[in-house]
Amino acid sequence: MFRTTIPEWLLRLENSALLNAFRESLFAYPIVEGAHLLGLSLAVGLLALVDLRLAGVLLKDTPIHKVVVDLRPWFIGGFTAVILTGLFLFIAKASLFYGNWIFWTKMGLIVLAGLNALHFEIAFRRTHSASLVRGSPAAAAWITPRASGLISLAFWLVVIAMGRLLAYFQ
Amino acid sequence: MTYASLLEFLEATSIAVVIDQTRWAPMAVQIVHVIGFTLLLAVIVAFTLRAQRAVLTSVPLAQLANALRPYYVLALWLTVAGGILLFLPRAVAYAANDAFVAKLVLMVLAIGLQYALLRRARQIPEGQEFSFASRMLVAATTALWFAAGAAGRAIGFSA
Repeated sequence: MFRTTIPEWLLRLENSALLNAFRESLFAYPIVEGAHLLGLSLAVGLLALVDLRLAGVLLKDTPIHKVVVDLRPWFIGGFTAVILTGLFLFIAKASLFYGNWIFWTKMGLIVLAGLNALHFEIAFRRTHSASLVRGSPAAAAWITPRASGLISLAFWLVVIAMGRLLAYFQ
Repeated sequence: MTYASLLEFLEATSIAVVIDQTRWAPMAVQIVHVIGFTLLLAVIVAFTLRAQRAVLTSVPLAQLANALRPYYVLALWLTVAGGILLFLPRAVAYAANDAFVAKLVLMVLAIGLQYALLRRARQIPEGQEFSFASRMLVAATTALWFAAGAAGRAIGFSA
């Protein structure tokens, strides 16, 4: 059901000199972990504000495309920081995380949230935001912007919860 | 009642005992606390970016401040409530933790300054923006919030 045998190359990486030093450092691991959490505020937090706009509960009079385009560089920057720090944190303790169902559930939800975002971006570009400005569903979209926003919010809330649970189920 | 006995009293409250002795309660409280702080920092970052005229410049500052205020209040409640419930079962240990004390001081400062800034922003007439001094204060307050977050992470690594 669950592969718990960590690949050899990942094990070698985990036990490399750099990752050993990182894992055993008094400050490096906590600092990167802290950066990962604070990066969430830029990434998931700002995206949540966009999702609240899509859901029609925040800045209802401001065109959706304006909110998305303005905040996008910031939450993409935040996600870049979260992904980079997350990679470091994962590889440093790969043996612990690799066989952990909570970790893979979190990753799966992140992929699904990403697909939801990708669908929205593709549909959004196709309609050139005209229909989104009026709040009506984009013609090329499978789901409405409102549904996309609510789904995104739900996914990311669970991702945050899974992230916290990791500390208890290592 | 001395400070030490107050802390011991808090640790002995029934809610503190329930949180301490169940497996799921600390997890749930941690999740609420992290979700609250994530939303809190997001609202603050969005307000800061707008105050610095970096995003959403077509939205009047007062309108954005009004729109964000309910989420700021909700996020603050979640964060503080979660924080109190995390504190209660380990009141003595936390009170002796330098990083925790630093976090409290930073948060109190940040909350006070943020309240003043949001209040000022909500009163700004349309077409007007924050002065340079106010924008610097907004940036400094945001730095305080992130410093509080960093201090929070340091709690587990501080004696």
